Amino acid sequence: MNIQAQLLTESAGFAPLEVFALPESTPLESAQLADFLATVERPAFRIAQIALRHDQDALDAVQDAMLRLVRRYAERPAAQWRPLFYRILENCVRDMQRRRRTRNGVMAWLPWRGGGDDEQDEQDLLAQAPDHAPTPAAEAQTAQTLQALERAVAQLPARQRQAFLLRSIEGMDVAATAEAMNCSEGSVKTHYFRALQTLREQLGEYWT
Amino acid sequence: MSASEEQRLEEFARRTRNLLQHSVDHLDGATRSRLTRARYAALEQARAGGALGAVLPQWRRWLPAGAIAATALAVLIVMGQQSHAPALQASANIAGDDMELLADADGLALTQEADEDYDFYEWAVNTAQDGERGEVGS
Repeated sequence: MNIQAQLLTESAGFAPLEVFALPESTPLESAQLADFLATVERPAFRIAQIALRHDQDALDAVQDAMLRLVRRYAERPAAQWRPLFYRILENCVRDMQRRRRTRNGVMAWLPWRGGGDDEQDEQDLLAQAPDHAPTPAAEAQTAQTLQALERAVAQLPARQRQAFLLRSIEGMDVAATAEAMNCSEGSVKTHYFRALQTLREQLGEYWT
Repeated sequence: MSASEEQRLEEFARRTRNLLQHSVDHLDGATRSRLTRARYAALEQARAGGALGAVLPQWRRWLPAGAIAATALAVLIVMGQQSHAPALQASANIAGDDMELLADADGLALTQEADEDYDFYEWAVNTAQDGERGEVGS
């Protein structure tokens, strides 16, 4: 079974048969895998957090992606881990977004449910915005800018968002992004360019 | 796209990249701690799964065959039920006819009228037999 088939199976919620077991690995390989996860966990969390706009869901998505990578692809060459991991993470994010849409659809029918979740999310994001500017004013400006950027990125089409975040946060080049997104380099360039144009149009006031 | 426009877009990309990477580098301690715990949990779960994995793949390989066998059995059961279906249907129709006759008031009335006519038929038969005897005796 090739990588694409495995990922399709995986996104449908089924474990591929021949790669189910955790492979026998040496302590050195396990340490290498643990090191790899340590290097991707923060950018992965930010990518998931911006896409989902929810801290706990983002943590769950990252942990789920880590688990799937370790269980199913640990025997792959280490060079393949990064694109595989981010492809799995995107599947986790989309699964979570689907579940959330379903859950919100059901909860909307309940009479005692208020509509304040979005407001709560906005407040939480504002409270959690990074706080490392030299002065309070600059700090507030950075937080405001970052929050606006995150809001705009979250509204991008999924492929544009993925291309933009992988290139901006993970620092992937076009080739690596194409591998992680399972598409051509030309598609990556198109998605990234459109994302930049859209964001710049929406965020013009924060960047001029 | 003009060169200046391309340059502005490139500058925008650089600034967004710096801002986002800065936010990654300065995640708060609580989040970093939760991520570390999530990483260890994933590795630990995978190890636990690996212990089970020595056994699970053996029976998991039989899942497709089991699924096919179960499907074949289900098809056989359904087909078997369908082959008995005409007889069951006929029985149901007969029972339905009986109930219809019993419930049919007109049919019952006709039956009662027929009972009343038996006296006439009995008289006619007796008369005919008497006539035959008379003819024989005469």
